[in-house]
Amino acid sequence: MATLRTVRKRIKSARNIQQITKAMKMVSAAKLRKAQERIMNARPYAEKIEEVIDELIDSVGPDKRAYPMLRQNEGVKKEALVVIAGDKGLCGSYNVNIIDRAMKELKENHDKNLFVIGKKGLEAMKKVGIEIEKFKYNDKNIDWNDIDELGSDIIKKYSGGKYSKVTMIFSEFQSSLQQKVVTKQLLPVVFEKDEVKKVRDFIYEPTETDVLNGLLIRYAKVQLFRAVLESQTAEQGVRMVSMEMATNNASDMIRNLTLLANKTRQSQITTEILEIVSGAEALK
Amino acid sequence: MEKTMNLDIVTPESKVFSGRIRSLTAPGINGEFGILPEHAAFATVLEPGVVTLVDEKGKEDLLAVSGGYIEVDREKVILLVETAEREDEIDIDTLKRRKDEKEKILKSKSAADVDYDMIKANLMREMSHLRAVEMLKKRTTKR
Repeated sequence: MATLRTVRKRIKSARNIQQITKAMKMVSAAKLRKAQERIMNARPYAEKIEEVIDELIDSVGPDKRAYPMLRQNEGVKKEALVVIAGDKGLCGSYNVNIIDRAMKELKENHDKNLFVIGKKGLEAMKKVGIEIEKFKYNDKNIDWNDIDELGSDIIKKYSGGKYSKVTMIFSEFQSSLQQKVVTKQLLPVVFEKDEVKKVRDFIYEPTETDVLNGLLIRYAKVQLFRAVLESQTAEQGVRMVSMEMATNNASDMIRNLTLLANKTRQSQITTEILEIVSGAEALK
Repeated sequence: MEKTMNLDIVTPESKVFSGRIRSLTAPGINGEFGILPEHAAFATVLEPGVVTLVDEKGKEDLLAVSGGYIEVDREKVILLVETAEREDEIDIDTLKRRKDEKEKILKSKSAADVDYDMIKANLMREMSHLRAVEMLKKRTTKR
């Protein structure tokens, strides 16, 4: 039988935990808003690039040798995998889902180079024993410079013929209750063409090929950047929900413990009264 | 009333400028060029450098940009650049320090190292960024 004192202690610690989870939920909500803002800010740039590529992609014939970002690297087996996870835990199955998917990919083809964003991803991937090519922290300070660096590295290796394919794994934010783990091909660039075609009479300098190549590189980086922002938003969404749940669980626990505490107190009083009464009885 | 055109300067992080302007000069891959309203539709790749724009009221504004893409469509100019900074937003000392750091790292490595090219590319980028910023400084002090 738990003593009253230990039960009260447990109530107190449950309350403390509840306070922390409540605060964390609030922080996540604020961060979520910020992350969503960043996605919005990145959108015009991406949209414009897509628009122009859309226009120029038709000028690419079946011979893709002049476009290192579009051509397939024939005969190369090695692939690259970009795993985008979070830096921190306490966010439900967010990191686990990403890592699971990455493991599955690795099982299919073990000959992969890894690029990891997010500390939790790094920790998990280290256990697999594959050397990690490059790592970046996935916090709020990650900016275009980081992505640029990482992206340039990947693009250079790809156009140098090192990889046959570059895929990235990240979480997509759907709503704060729902996230989806997405596997997406980064290179060679797959471009979904708009059906509506409007050809503008533009002069491209120096050549269309040069402009398109420059844009494709930016496009790949934008994709990567978007994936990182998307994953950050998802992470905050998951954390918000799981902290909410933790807060509710703590409330339940506090209720149950309070009940237990009251019962214990009651029975203690009953025993005391019984003792007093029987003591008085004995004195008679 | 002088003729104006619309200009948007967009980076992956934000929209730096959006409004009407009278003229614009930008560092193209084949040299610097100027754009006035009703320019023929054209697009090109940009080098790191300084973009000068004259806004509706005739005020000049300078921005240091890293490489990107520009598109001119008679009435509308769109600049897609990786970074675009006004003079007062730039901390030249930090940039210099970063460049020096990268240089030091590069010196400690030999060409045989795996990441030599990578670091070199990084350094080149820092340097071009710095160059753009320095050009901007020079121009603003001249006036």
